[in-house]
Amino acid sequence: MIRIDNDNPKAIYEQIYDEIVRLIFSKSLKPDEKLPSVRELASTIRINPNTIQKAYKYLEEDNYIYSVKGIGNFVKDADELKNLYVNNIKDELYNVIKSLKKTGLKDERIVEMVKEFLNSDKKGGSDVNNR
Amino acid sequence: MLTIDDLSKKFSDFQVLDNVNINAEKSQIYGLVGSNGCGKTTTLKHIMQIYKQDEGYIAFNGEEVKENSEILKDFYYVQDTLFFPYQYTLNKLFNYEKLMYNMSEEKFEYLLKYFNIDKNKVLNKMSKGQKKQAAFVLSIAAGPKLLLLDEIVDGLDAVIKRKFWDVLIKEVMDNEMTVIISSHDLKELDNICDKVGIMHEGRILKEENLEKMKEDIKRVQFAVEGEFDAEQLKEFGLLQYVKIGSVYIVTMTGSTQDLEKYLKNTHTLLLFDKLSMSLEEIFITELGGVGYGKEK
Repeated sequence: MIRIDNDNPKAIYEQIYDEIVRLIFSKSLKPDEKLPSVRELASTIRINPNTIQKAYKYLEEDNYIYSVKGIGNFVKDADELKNLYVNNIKDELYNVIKSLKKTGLKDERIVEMVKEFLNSDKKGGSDVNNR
Repeated sequence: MLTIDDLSKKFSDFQVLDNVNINAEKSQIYGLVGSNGCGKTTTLKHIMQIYKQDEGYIAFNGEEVKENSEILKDFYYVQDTLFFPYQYTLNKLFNYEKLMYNMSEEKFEYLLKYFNIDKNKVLNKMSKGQKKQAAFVLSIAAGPKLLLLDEIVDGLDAVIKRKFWDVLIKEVMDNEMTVIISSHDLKELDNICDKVGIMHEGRILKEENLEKMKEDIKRVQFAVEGEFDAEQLKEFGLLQYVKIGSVYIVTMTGSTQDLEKYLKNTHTLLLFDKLSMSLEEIFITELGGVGYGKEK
């Protein structure tokens, strides 16, 4: 369930972090569900236990998971995750806007595009991409 | 923790070990890697005091390791080439090892099942891989604080390798065992070792936390419009570069962000990608730095 890509320049702990976030957002890991133990995951994906521990530590710091001493790590509940999810998508939006600007579009035009999209979505009508 | 300071050894005129320094912490998996004949096995044999050093100091948890030290009972060494006593079965060897080690029957029986080994089979009739598994089972049943594994994964199939790492990780986590593992198979050690020592011609070229090593040595590929003078890369801790067509593949220690910024400011940058760096590539880069493998 956790894929490590050896051709990815990201550090292994970052890849594990990203993968767990992906599993949480896709609801493959549900709120309050227990994560695999460090040992379990280390041995399944053949990664150093301290690397797994590091990924879990950052996930806890960033409020995706919480730990219960002696029992394990658990996914946070849905309300708390919602903000994180929004922030995450915000980053994606930021990147899209950045690449739009790169092509030379003016700010006003980008705002217009967003408005157009929101309006057409309200009407439940045509997808912007279909034009 | 295991400390080796300035270990040196000569076999007649040949300097096999030349000021070897190793520091392995408690609960660490330490990968000892190196070119052929670089002295990995000789180093391990010194830790066990099978060889006596000419110079240098070996200590475990602050206590010096000497011939006949009590502390050697906390060490277990699995050799690369395994020789077993004539007609010995694994069960017989297990009982024999009780003379030296505090052998755990429980772990022994569990591991026999896990690896599906017949303890009553004569060891010398086993295949290479089976012998390695048998020796590994004994080593874990001995419950050492320091386990030295010389080329243990060599000859194990993929399924057994998984089981091997599973058992090793458990011992390291539950019993704070320190492991020194030597191997030529760098893919096998990548991402599993805490720390790596790279050996060449009797010396440790580099010893570092593996994650840190990967942060320090980076690789990027880029292409710019027009001519590019590779001299400019020297400012960014250039280790080596190759040019394929108009794409430069650069191994460096400097900041990749700074390089990207610099290239953007001075050229029209067409392509800039960070590439991953494996232990194998770090190894080749480090040994290339001392001229190994550069023969034409």
